[in-house]
Amino acid sequence: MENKFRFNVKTLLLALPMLLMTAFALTKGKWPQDWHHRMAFILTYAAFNAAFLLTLITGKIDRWRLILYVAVAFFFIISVLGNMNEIYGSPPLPDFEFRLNTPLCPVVIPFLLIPAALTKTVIWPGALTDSFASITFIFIMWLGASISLGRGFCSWVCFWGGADDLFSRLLPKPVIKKMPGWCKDLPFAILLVFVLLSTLWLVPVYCAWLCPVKPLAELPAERFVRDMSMWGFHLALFITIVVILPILTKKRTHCAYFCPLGVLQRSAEFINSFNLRIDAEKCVKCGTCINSCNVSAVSEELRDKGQREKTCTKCGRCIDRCPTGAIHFHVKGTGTDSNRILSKMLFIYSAFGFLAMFGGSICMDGIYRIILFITTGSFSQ
Amino acid sequence: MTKIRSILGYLWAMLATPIVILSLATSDNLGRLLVKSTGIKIAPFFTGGEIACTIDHGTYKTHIHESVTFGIIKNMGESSIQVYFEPAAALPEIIREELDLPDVSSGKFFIILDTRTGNVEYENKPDTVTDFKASKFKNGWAVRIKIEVRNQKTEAR
Ligand code: SF4
Ligand code: SF4
Ligand code: SF4
Repeated sequence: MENKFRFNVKTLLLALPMLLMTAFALTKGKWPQDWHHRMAFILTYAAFNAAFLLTLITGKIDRWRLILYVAVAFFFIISVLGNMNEIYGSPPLPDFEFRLNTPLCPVVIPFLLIPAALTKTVIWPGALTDSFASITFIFIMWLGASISLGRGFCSWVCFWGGADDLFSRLLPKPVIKKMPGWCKDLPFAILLVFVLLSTLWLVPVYCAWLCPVKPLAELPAERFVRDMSMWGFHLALFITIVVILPILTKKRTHCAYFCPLGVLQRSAEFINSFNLRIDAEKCVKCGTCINSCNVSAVSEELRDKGQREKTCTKCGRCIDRCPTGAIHFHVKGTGTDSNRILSKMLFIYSAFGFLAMFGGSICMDGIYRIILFITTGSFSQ
Repeated sequence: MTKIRSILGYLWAMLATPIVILSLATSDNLGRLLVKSTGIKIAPFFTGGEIACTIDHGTYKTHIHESVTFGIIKNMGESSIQVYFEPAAALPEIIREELDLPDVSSGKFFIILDTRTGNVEYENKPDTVTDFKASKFKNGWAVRIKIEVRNQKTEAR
């Protein structure tokens, strides 16, 4: 099949830039000094590059992407809790307004933009530069990912997405077959309301009040009773929106019907160069792509037009599953007779590169902290 | 025309990977440049705002920050004044600090911070002072005094 490469020297050469890119990104050009870091590097480096090679050889994209993407989500929790512990000492955390150096979460970026333009200040208790997940680092990373991947950010970069992506795959068939129509508009409403509130109050209100993924990255803060109830509310949202609903609907309910950054990522599709095309001549209208898409980006109507919605996160699952190979990555501006392998390789290199370099460094830190915990009994130095 | 579009499309797509590498590899330097060129800062709601004055107690110092108003719409609710004591190692167990809040207090207003427990008490609390919060930092203690905004700017001495 045109999609696959044989395991030979040519394929290894094709994987060479990824081997070099990840080596440089994960080591920052220096061989790790202590054995904990060396071990974490070797494991991460081997896992990501093996997955890349397997992507080339098997022609399957989502199968290998999912494993790494879920790993990123898992190790992110360990990494961020370890880092928070280093910044603030052991829990409980200080009250929200007393925090400094808090890692920036990309989901709050939409709420920071207007206040930053109006007041020349960032309404986030973080460090602007030179810190773990500093504000400018996350912002520039997000900008780069949005330009190069568009909404592909939501299947290749964002460290939150792995959770509902995984849960949406657990059952063989959905228990809840259809989400109500208004759900599609919900993230727009959340984005609008919370941009407005954050601008008026100059506080990232979404993060404080509504974010369902917050309990994964932070434990309750100082005012125990009040914060425990708030934390409990966030946890209930997490269990409902990120765990139970994805299991029952087989959809990424948090990412498709809730997350305000996901909405912003759709607009990044205008500048991004990749999309998906469905070859009408090859399509046998089996419906596999419609059923397997966990962000509802394909409908019968769109499939018949050879397109998908801007909500598509470019996970590659429908490509992997299509029995006739009708779905493929496409470079915008090029015709229907464009080179499919070139288009796929251009996308895979940028998407996998981001996953391996950004997600890889998260995994490496998480693995390092687990090794540290096993050997010293503590997740932080 | 189709050919030009196609070439431009591929060129833009070929830039995707270099953009990925650049955005990750240069983010530290680019970030510093961004901060320098825009003059952007962290919101005073989190930092406590600029220091208005410092009182030297010999072994430790008290920094009284300017009042910080919340929200784009002024007088939306409260403003807050941060008082910061440092260094942590030299702080007495009980700190009793007089604060002069010209627009809100008639008598002498004191805050009393217990650095063993983080408990804050006060003497002669004006009506407009609505809440206190204290938090321990690596190098000291911060107390935030929340003040109800009544159409006038409130600043500590
Ligand atoms: S929708 Fe939001 S949480 Fe989900 S992957 Fe995208 S940015 Fe992350
Ligand atoms: S999975 Fe492939 S063949 Fe089936 S409907 Fe989708 S595009 Fe057509
Ligand atoms: S349309 Fe295909 S690539 Fe896009 S999100 Fe759905 S399954 Fe993934």
